[in-house]
Amino acid sequence: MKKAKMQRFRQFIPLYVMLLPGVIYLFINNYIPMAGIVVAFKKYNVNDGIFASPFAGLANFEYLFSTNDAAVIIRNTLLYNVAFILINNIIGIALAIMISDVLSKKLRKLYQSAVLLPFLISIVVVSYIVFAFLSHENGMFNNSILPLFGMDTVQWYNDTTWWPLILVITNCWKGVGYGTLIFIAGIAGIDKSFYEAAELDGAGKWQQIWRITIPCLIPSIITLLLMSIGRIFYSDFGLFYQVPQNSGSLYPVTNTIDTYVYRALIAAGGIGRSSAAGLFQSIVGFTLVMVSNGVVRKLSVDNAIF
Amino acid sequence: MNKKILSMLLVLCMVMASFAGCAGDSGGSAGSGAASKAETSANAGTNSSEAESGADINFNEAPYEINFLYLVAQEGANQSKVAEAVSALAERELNMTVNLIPMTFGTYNQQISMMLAANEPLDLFPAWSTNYSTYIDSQYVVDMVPYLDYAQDAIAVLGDDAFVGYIGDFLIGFGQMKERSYPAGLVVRKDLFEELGYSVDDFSVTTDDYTSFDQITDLFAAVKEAYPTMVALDGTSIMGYQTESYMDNLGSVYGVLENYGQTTTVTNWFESEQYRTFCDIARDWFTKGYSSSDIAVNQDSGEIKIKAGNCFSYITNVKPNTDVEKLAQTGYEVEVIYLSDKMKHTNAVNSGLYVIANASKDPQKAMQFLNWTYTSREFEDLINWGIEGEDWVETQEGLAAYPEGIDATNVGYHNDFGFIYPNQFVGHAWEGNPTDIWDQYGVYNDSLMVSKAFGFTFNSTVVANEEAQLISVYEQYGKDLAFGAVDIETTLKEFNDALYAAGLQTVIDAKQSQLDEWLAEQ
Repeated sequence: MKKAKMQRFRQFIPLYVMLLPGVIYLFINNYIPMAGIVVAFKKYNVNDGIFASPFAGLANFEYLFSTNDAAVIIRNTLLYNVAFILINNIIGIALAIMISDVLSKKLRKLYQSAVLLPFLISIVVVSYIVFAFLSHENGMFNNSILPLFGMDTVQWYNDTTWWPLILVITNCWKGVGYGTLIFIAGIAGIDKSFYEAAELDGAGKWQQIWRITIPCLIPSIITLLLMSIGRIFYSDFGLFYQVPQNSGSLYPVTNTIDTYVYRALIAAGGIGRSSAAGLFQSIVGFTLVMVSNGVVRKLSVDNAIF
Repeated sequence: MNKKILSMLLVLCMVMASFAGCAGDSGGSAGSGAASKAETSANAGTNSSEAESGADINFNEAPYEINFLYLVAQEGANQSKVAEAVSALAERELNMTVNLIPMTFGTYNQQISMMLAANEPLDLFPAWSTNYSTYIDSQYVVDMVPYLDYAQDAIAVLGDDAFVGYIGDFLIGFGQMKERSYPAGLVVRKDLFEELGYSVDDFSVTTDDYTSFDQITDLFAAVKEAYPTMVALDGTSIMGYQTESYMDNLGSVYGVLENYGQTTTVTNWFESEQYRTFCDIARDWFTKGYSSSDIAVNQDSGEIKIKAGNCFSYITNVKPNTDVEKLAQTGYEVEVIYLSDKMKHTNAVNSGLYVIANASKDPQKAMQFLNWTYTSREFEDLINWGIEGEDWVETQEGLAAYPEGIDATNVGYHNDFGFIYPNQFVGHAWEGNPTDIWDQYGVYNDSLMVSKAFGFTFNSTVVANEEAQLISVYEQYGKDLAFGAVDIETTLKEFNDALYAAGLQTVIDAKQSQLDEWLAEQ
């Protein structure tokens, strides 16, 4: 038994050696720095360095929770992420199904690139595109579109009512391409004979999608979902800071944990406190991933990530 | 068999390549030490006339390398030439080589915290008053008190303002020679201004009588009528946002000494009549369409707006030669209407100081170098204007100007950042300025109203958590109120309630008690 194992090991040595650089990099870049987590519990000063600085217990977490905004920022971060996950996945699947059905190969490639393009645009550029639409003075909405319907101009950057919608739409436009491509790859892997059999049995388009495409996409959906859940306490800083042009009146609906920490600690030296915020986000994300993975494993073992 | 060898070789290559990134970077500084040894012996005989710095320069030892971080307007093509020239100059006079670390404002803001936290080699750098308490707390900077012997020139040059860097007993740094006040001013385009028949003398706006601000409102009305497509007021500041101009803000805008610092009671400026009036005026301008309707979310500075051509005026901090500066920055001639009195308070003088970093291997030498920068004409001209002959030449009047064939677009190195270098008065002034501009600055500085708390700096670490929350509240309401983008009555009340909920009273009490202690010691 042992001899067979040794032999198998020797057979795979080239593969392990190929794996080595990646593993070393992962270890150095991702695992060793974990020791730095202690800085969230210390009062850091540069002479003592990270490990010799005096302990501060949970003091660094206070500013995050003692503020009146704590409930607002946590609520915003969570709810927006839930909305993003739902909308991006539903629209991503819809787009993937539509693109996969396009007959012309050239057009299909064109659509794939077109749907991915916004993902590659910097969020700062996007914030100015949005500004071009919503600017009070020169924006397209105030100057062309609203007068067309005979409605009054809106002070977009001072009015909180529309911003949840605006941010969800912007985030979807920018980020949906990424998931769509993964879903397209997933759909390409579905055996064509399923569809042929379904057609023979008289299944309509909707039924084919509902009964064949989506069930076969479940592994991809679950993987993407679990990854998103792990980041549910993180937010895209550019989206919540730049796109609303950092307008104060919009804070109740655009303030998230990341923007709050940034604004509070923009003066240098708050290393302990910003690490505390980051640690908080990571712990919650980690817990959620473990819990969700456990739940998925109970429902269908194959689809769990680990 | 061959395939196996080939694949093993490939694998080895890949593994080797992954170690390529581990190369060290120790090669840099070793070379300069050897090269300068030769110069050292040649200089041994030269007696430094810098003996007034309080200590003789010892030319027999190896030159010390100073890491000098400074701000630049942009990365210039002649940067390395300037660095060599500065290093050679310092070596001649101080037996020190200089490693210049240039940074633009944007880069500086991002990088400085990392550099300090990582204890990167650094001797001297400019720091901002908002960070002094945290730097001292985190031990990023060195107390200058033990090295005052080596700072005699700097102290002489700075005069009364030499010791504004004291926070408690800790002397954090020395300031720059520049205007000592940040009064608010309206910068207007001269051509349109004169076309409408106005001149600067027609205006006298003062906070003693708020109706004087109606003069500005009338000006905007005239502009709007004559030029309907022009935006009368734009930019990133307005009276309610000029937190350095109307009161002594004691380092932060939470708890201030109102009326140009002529009181010793710390109050909340946002509850004052003055602030309310400023917001109402701004609201008036906003609703009448004099200020751009985007002004509260605008991120572009007034200079950019004027340069674009469809803005008439903007509000900012002004100083004696603002008009020359703005002509260079915008391409339009401008006039300045003062909107406040001129007051000298601690923050105006110590808002930016040159400090010695904790990473400095020899703070005494760093102090000597800093001291030297306050008196060296060549150094100031080098870092501000570049290489003489290539980037600038001296005119007949003794000012600096571009050489033949060079202008702002193709110059190799040019900053005009005198306000952030130790002593711009000792270097050349730029063409366009009056030849006695430095004397004018001197006269201007002497004529300022001095705040009662001048010399006092608040140590904010005791209220760090409250300040973090207050910043958040201020960012939420500050701009909208100051620019008049929202209804003032209701929002102002909300704002003040939120400030008190975030701990404003604690900060005010802390400031008052520290101030009282300081006053008692004077």
